Amino acid sequence: MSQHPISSDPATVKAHQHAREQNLTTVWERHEAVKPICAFGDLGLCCTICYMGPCRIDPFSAEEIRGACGAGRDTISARNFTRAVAAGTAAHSDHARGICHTLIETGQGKAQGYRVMDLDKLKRVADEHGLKTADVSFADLAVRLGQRLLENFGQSEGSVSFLKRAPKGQQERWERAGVLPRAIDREVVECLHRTHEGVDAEYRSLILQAVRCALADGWGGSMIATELQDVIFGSPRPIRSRVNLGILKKDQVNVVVHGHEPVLSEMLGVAAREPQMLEYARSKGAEGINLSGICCTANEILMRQGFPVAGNFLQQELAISTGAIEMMVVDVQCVMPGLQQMASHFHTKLITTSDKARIPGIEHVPFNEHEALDCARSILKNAADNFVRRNQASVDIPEEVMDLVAGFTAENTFHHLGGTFRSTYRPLNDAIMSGRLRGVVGVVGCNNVRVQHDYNHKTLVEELLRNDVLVVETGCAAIACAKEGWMRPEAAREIAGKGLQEICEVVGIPPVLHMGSCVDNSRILIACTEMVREGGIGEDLSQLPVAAAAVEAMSEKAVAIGLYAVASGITTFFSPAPRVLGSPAVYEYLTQGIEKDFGAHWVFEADPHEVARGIIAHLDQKRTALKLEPMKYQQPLARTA
Amino acid sequence: MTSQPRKIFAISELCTACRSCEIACAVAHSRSASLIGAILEVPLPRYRIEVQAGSTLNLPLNCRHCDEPECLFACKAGAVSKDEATGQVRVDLEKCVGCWMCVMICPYGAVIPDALIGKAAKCDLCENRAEGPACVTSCLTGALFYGTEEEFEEYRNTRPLLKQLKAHR
Amino acid sequence: MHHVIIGNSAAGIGAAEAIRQIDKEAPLTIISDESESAYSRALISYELAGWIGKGNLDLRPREFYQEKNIAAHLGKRAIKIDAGKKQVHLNDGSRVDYDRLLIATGGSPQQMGVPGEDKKGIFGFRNYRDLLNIYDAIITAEHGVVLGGGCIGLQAASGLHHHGVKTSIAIASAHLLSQVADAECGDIYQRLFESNGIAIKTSMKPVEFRGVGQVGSIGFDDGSEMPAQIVISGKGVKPNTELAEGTKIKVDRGIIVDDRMCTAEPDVFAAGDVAVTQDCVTCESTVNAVWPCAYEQGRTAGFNMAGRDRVYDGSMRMNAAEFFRVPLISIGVVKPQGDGYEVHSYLDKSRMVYWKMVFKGKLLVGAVLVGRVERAGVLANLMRKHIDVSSIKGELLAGRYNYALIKPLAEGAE
Repeated sequence: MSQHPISSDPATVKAHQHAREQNLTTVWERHEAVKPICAFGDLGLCCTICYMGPCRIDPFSAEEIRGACGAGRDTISARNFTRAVAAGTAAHSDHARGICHTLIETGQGKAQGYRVMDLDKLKRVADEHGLKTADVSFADLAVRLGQRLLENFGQSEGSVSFLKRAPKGQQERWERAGVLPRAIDREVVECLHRTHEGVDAEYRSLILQAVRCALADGWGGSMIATELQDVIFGSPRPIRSRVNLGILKKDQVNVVVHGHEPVLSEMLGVAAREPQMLEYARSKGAEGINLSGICCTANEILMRQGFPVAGNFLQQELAISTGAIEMMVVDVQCVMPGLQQMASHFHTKLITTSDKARIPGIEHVPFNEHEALDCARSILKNAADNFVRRNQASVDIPEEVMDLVAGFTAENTFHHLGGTFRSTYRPLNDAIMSGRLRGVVGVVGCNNVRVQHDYNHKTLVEELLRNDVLVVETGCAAIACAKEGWMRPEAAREIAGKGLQEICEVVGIPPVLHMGSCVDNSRILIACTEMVREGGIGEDLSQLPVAAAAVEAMSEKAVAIGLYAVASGITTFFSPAPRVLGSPAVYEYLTQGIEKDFGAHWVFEADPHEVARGIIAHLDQKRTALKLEPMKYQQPLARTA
Repeated sequence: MTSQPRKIFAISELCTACRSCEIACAVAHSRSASLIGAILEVPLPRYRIEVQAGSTLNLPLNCRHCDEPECLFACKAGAVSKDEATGQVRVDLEKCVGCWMCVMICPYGAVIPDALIGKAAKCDLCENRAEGPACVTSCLTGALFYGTEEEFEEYRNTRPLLKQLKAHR
Repeated sequence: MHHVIIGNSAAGIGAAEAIRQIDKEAPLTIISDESESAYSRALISYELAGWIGKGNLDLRPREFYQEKNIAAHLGKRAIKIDAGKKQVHLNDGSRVDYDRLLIATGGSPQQMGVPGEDKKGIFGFRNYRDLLNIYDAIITAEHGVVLGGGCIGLQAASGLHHHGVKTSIAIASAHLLSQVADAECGDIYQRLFESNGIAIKTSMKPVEFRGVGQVGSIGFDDGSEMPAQIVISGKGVKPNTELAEGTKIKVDRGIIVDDRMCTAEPDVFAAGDVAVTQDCVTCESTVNAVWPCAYEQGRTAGFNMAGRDRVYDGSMRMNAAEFFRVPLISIGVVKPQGDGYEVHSYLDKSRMVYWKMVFKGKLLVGAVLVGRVERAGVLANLMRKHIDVSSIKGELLAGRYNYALIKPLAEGAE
């Protein structure tokens, strides 16, 4: 692992050096320039909610300081936290809303190029929602399911429909705590209302609303997005691909998609393989079209179509500074406005496509689902036209590239574990019960410039693997470990503990499973629920030997995800901590008190080695409580290399 | 004194009252030397610079390390001394009894009665901190400067924003 | 040029340091009747109260005299000044010649004038010997009474209390701290002391110390009696002006000096608790027997002795103390008598916060701060420099005073 302060990924270090040599500014330089980080903000003690302020609570005052309205540190940090959760939930859920519309329009035949790929899942989800599936055309069913799921956003009665998928025990906890989300939009709105000046001042009541909102994300927006994307674009299957900046090709038209929504990028994927597009690219002197991705849009087209991944969040600008990209197509979330400044130094065309997300100085090409394929073709043509403007002499693509297998889901992963003929979680549960596997941990989330790029993810995962923990990943965390080679099946032999190695070899899976984008964290909820249903390792998510970790967390979405994981009974290790450290009461509730309400808690720990130790202790504690057999192979493998 | 003493200087016009200097000062004078650790310490570390709101400008104010240090004259515990070589005015916390004579006499109000430990807290120029005074390194806008009076004058004259501000008046 | 300083406390040390700042070579002698190297008398109460370790009272490091090239005659009392011969007579028969002389002899506790005052177990609380004597006495004392409710008295009472003596304070005035602050302030501390187990009796004067050889109780003018095996007199001090006898030095309560701290006798200066100076707030001539003034006066005298002209801009009535963790600062006129004053105050009994500001015309002339004393020096500065505060009165009264606020005014005044 590279020891360079900015990144543990050699490709990133090289690309960054190259960018610096050309005097280009990246996220790291900008971050240095805004330092020091404001401590009031960092601790959650700055309140900008009303216009009497901003008010800041001095953390070093021996006396109790309050904002102008009388809100103390607990109220202020709980309000800030609740707003972050609302924003995170809004992001995932608005994404989901778009997919519902796409499904409806697909059913109505209005969405050019789209069709329902996973009919089986369409039927299953429709069944689950009590829709009549017999004697109904798939097109009609798609429309009706889309409409039914859209109700989740604004229904005036009942609660979010997928909540029923959760184990009974957890559903009862939610009911007891009064946090069953009613409708997704409503919970976001209520968060904003309650945190408005002069409404809810009780920190616990605020956090419980944040929980209700977060559940509307995990078991609502995110789950709807995952399920309907599977329905429209097909459920992922294990698929080979390649990752890191080295996948960019010197002799091809490089088109990079970036953001979070697969709706346009799936069509770009279709168009990029059309012979006439390839012909067009060749007419411009290129050998072909190389479509790849960054962030979760990358994960989406990787999971379903096997397109390569250029990098994760902190690599977005460096992809452009290779000088090899003709076109970067961005949609929503995690798209740095700084891309514009970077692109302005190159021939790279940067285009925004979502009407929700524009960047000053950047061409906006509104994406229209009715003409999706035409739109995709036009973008690719545009990119090919741009190929001739590339200055080949200055192109500098780091050579690093890694193979991987992605495409695991709640349905297919343990289908694997069961072998070809048995689609069941039994073998996974057996492996845990017999002490071959210590447990399952979801390592998810972002990159954060405050942390050495990818370092926390990789350090944590390496220790988990050596201690026989099966790791499932999504988002930028997944890309970090893929670059390290841990998503190759051979990696089990190279790094995993003996028990994990045995399981991986028997089933033929890598020790780290790529489960998709960040909305696909809902897949992890489902997988955990299936583990409970299979039996033998706990009656509830909170009893399972599982945990979650987001150790380079950056976005408000990550906070929402962390909170729904905890509220679902999965203890979550999270750093950098959300902005609650300035309030001892809020900190205490999130890291301890919340356990009583939901069976899990947060752990805010910055050192990845400590996180690993904490997770292992947590899994062992759950194993002891379940009276599972001792670990079969106690001694972790010595660290190689 | 052969060379000019190095002091902390403030440019009011550049101070945005973000109070980063206060926080950095408290952290620099904490046992844990980290923000998160510092806010949980008992007793809480005390910052020795205060961003004071004047009628028109903000002034980040800490000990001026006076040539005629009245706090030294007033200290009945003999806890205050002036370093002849560096010009620094020091409080020996071993000797300080918290009689608050210095608080009563300092015309700048720059000696802070730390009620939590019952001793006087004042700027020590972060003398043991390799990077120099924490308030200065934490200042986002360059409103704080550490150096000799001559160096400060030069620094002040090179602040472009300051020229603009002056032109504006 | 031989400088001689009689006195080894704030004023004496202030003068010595000033002289050495200008002249590192001139012979400099300090004479003190106490044998200790420069220590802080003011710290004996802190030591008694256990705030500092025993014997840790050094005002300056022990090497001070050597480093500053000072000849120290410690443990010798100056008994006479022969101004004609420019000589100081010491009690061991020796004589010290001077070119410039500073009298910084301070003050002594006033006699109470109460029968039985010479009994064992009755102490002043002024110097290190008093402290050592008190240490001996508290071993056997069950009850202690402190007579006097000023800062010294209150600190002595806290000290006795700290050592497990059942302590009471008896005062002639109606409230504590009557010389230092006002009745409201006194009441706050009275409740504070009482809640800490120290009884306070007001408006009563001792008429007799009873006991055989050793004091056992005190009889008061209201006929009551209090048991006391130890009595500390916290009464005020009177200037030690005896050396002025036989010279041209004028004495009126204390030694009269000009604005350069020079007495009527050429080349003889006086400073500190022995000197009468002009109060820069009230413009009255008075003895402001407080530490910062003593040092400043000594420093002024020292500069003038060494040939650098320096004018003393006046003393100020000021006091700072802390009792049972509640700090007090009191500056200037705090109990105004007569017309033309404007008084504002604020009291929060539950949090033990009290402040009071006294204005006269456009000037701030006094302040009492209890509980919160931050930035008190800013107020003192406003008073000392006679700064017109009419434009910032609102801020002062709201407690929002700081240097940033007064900076434009202070710079304008200079």
